[in-house]
Amino acid sequence: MMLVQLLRAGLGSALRRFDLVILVYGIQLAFAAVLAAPIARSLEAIVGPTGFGAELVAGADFVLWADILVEEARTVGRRGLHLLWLLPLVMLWKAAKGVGLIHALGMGSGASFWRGAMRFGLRSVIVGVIFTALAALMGTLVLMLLGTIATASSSPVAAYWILVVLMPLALLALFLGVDVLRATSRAAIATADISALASTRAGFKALVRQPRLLTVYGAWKLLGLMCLMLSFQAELHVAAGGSAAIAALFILQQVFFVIGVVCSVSWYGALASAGPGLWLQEAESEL
Amino acid sequence: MTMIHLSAGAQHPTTYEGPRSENRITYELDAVLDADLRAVRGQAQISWRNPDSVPVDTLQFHLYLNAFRSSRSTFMREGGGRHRGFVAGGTAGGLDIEGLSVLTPDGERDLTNRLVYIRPDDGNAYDSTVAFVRLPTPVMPGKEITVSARFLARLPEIVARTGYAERPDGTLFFMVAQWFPKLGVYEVPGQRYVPDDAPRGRWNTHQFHANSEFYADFGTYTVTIDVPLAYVVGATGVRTVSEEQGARKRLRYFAQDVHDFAWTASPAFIAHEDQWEHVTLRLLLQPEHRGQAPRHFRAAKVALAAFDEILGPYPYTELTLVDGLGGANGMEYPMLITCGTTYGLPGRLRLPEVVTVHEFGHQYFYGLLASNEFEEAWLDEGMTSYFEAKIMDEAYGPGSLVNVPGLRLDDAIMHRLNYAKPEPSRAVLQTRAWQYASGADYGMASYSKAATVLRTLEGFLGWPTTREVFRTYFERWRYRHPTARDFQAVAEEVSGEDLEWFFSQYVYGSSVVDYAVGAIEPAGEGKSTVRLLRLADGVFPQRVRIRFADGSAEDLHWDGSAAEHRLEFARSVTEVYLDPDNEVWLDANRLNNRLRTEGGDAFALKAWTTLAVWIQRLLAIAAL
Repeated sequence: MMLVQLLRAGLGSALRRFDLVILVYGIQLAFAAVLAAPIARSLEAIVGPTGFGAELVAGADFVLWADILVEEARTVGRRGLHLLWLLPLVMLWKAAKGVGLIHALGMGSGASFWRGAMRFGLRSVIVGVIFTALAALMGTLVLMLLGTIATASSSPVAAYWILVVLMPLALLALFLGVDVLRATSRAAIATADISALASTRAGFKALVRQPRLLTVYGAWKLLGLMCLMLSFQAELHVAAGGSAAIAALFILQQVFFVIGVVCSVSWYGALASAGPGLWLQEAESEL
Repeated sequence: MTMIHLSAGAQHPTTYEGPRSENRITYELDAVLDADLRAVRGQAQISWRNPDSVPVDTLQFHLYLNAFRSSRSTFMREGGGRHRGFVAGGTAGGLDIEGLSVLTPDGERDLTNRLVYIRPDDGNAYDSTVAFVRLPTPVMPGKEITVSARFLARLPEIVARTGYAERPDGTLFFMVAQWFPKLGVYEVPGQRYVPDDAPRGRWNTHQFHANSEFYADFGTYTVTIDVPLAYVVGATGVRTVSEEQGARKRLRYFAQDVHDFAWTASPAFIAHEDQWEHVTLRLLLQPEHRGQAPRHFRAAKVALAAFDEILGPYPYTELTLVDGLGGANGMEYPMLITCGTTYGLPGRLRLPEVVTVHEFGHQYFYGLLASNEFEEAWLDEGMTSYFEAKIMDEAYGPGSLVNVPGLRLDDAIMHRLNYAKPEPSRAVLQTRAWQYASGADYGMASYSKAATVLRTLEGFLGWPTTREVFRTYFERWRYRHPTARDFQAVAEEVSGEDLEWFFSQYVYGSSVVDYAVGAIEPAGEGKSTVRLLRLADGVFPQRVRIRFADGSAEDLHWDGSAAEHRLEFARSVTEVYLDPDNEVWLDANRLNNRLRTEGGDAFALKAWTTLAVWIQRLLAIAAL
């Protein structure tokens, strides 16, 4: 498929199956709402009776925040710890989402996200673990290599470019590279119904056969990133205000998040529409 | 070939002729930089006038460079060879006195063998940073003595503000500070803490400690510096002569009404020049930092203008700003400050600015108000930090220190937090610098606590009175050696207040301020009882703002002395707010200063939406 066709196919899938967009967005919002609620309740219990809420809404008052964090360290720490749930949940959700979306988008209208998630979820988790380990290993190597070069270089200019520019770019490239491989591997699982190990090979080969998938990935991810930035920009520009302003800001940010999810679903849509030929070889070799 | 440039129209070092200090000392120094040896070969003629009413038969010198002579010196023992995170390198330093003599009417008398090291602070037999010499004949009251010294200043790899460093391109950087035998301060009866009725004065010298700076007397310096031709030099004073001789050059500097002389030299420096009113600004930057020159100049001009307006005129005609390497940075000398920067530092992180403003502030609190930095470090570091924060916050606005999207940190708030968290009671301002439990305590107390104490004093007295206090203190004590008691006396005189309660608790004591609103209790028939609490040992008068159910408000005054204070109101109280104008910056926990009976602000919604959105962002990033 041509690049434009892939992009159009992805977007078309997302718009046709807007229920999937709503599902993904809804689950992420639910995660966020549930995780945020106890911390917000604790903060309200600390701050509410003081009347300093208005100052804290208007901006970051470091003195008051330091008081909250130091004087109420135990409460805040206990509540903050529960954010750690986020990590395994995110991994599981991402594993389910990858195969669930490919299954639902690839099988035509009406195919179930959850059926795909249930059927391919375990293999998707294994793929996630493999690529997380790979990312951790390669990330460590990049950090060690560039860190060593920066330390060995006595020039502060060289150290700056290595540590401040090159290292983040290298880590970003690594992160994106692993992410795209993970996505294509999951697409291989959900499309060709192959093992986790075979899917990692298939995912890599798919990118070799269809390198324009990288461009598609980049395009959707860039748009997704822009949505995130816009949600942040909105926050910076609407820092203060009463309940109405806060609610309006929240709604605006949710619009950006929905668009971000459209981008994400479009990427999976493009993968799903790339055709079963992409994964066929691995499927045949498994047989 | 010799080329001599008499600096035609060279500026006088001060805006006035003749010295305004007592000018007890005259130094004539001749320094030859041996870059290969990493050393300065020097010759000194030091003239000292006896200010006492009795004969004085001893002299005491600081030989600070000997702190780097071995790992057993007091400096090395106290700090483990580290200073502000920089480690003393492998090359030892030292100040070798190769000859010492006194000029008498009968000729020159050798004193070299009479030089004895003394350890006034800790008795450490391995410390040789203070030396004592008994003179063959006493110096009569009001008379002058001249001693001559030959010395070799061996510079360490840069640590604790002095030494040499090699740049990545192989060129050298020298920060030559505390490099010559420097006389201590002879304090006469009535001066500083010497009793009025003491029979005689005494030398005040201290060993070089890990947590201390310096103390010296005002004088006149004529210094000749001989360096390789390619070297760019910056120094205390103004340059009067520049003479080229083959591959080297000799530069002569003159300074008056100063109490130290430091210089720096490197072939790599890029020199920039600017002007602020009567002051010529020289900026010596590392080449890779050349793009940051406007940041340094702006900060220097902001500081010059602010100190000029608040305290009084900067009396010198030059200021040299040095972008040093490593441990050389963040230090003040008369007319020369080190205020380095970092390559690629974004403009919204104002580290060079805050260091420039701070180090320039020392031209006043140290340079002109020459307090004893060993014994009362807060008088220079704390007052400088107080003004640094005030000037930074005013000149650079909200986020004066850090101003990036979503994060703004003001300088004064940074000092307040540094003092208040986590343990505000851990250090007393009026402590000898080396007697703090740790370097962190010294830093917290001398810089941040002092800045916060002074900010609180400003809140109590009001800015116009506070400004008048500092202006009077400056006018009365410049070119002299004020103490904490002198500052207190000026503050009491100008404000008309007895401030002993303030100084005894927060300057001489470790009291902590923490007031809280304990409860608002209904007392029947629409009445209310309010319970105010003093949770710590510090007493500070409190303004209390009471809001009533009918929407009215009333400000009350509480002297803050009782551990618990009850207020009865015939109306229903909805909110009680201690220190509503945020004037008591010493209050270690502001959160408990306020209590209300009704909810109604948007905090709960804001907290939940902000957290939820951040978690959504994390999920979205993970899904990218």
